[in-house]
Amino acid sequence: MAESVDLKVLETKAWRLTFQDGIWDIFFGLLFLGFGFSALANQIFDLGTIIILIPWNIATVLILCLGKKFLTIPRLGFVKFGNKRKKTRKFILIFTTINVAFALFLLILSYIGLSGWFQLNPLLDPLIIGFLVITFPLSIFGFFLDFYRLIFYSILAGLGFFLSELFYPITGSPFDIFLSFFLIGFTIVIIGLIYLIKFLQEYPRIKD
Amino acid sequence: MAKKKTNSDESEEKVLSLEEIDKVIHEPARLMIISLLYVVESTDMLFLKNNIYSKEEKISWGNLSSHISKLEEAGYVEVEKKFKGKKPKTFLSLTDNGRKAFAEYRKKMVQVLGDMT
Repeated sequence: MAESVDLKVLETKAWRLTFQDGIWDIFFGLLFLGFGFSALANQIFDLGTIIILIPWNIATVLILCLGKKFLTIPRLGFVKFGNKRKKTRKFILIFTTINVAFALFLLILSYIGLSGWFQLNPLLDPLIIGFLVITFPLSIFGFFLDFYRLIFYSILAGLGFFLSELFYPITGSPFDIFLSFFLIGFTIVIIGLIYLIKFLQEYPRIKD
Repeated sequence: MAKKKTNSDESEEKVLSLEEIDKVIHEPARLMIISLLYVVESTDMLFLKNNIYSKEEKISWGNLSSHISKLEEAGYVEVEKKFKGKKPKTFLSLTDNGRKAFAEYRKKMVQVLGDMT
């Protein structure tokens, strides 16, 4: 048993335990994989991005929910956290809304051809966009959620557009985006699977 | 004129403070249970079992149940039985009394241990 009882540490330990199943890692990995596949699909048929992304993301959310319900809770148990975590959730919700609005703003700018003001350098632009749209918001989530692996994933994913620029001369479009996000998503899914296997071994299912 | 406290008077006071420590909370397993319930809103028995000790040292279901019963009898923990499908599930949360008693216990322990020479 622990020698001393530090309540903050106890709460954080219990909270972090909910990320040890690797299911959130798999969730983020699948989201980035989906992004890669959608880039490829857009080349094959009209509206391919939407046709692939919507069902893919629905399936990813389902995997997260079902994984938590059938793998995590029967092994780890169920817990409702206190006010501190509820406030964090509220903050994240507001922050996500602002980020989605910002991403939409960038998207609209690029559609109406007003994105020229942030075109600085063919290699620097994807780094800046990746940082603004992926790395920065996901790092904030990772920090406030005490889910520090997410900060590492946000850096990986933020490099996605930059990597695609490096792949472009070799593979051409759209395989550049597909390959970079496929590699990033695949890496994150593998990390998640390793965590999941360790979790399943450490917390066997208890018979009712 | 007020009588000056002697060393033996002070020692006696410390012993009295020790006797005032809530013994329901003071038992190590119950202290861990109540500490965990203090920092979360509610939890089921399984999460509690997985979290109150280290990975190597787990508490048995029987022991856990007996400690929970003692905390429930003292009015510190609320036990709620719910059905998830056909399976019964036990959810636990700290009562207001339990919260106050734990805060008081912490205060008292700091006081007693702080004064100890």
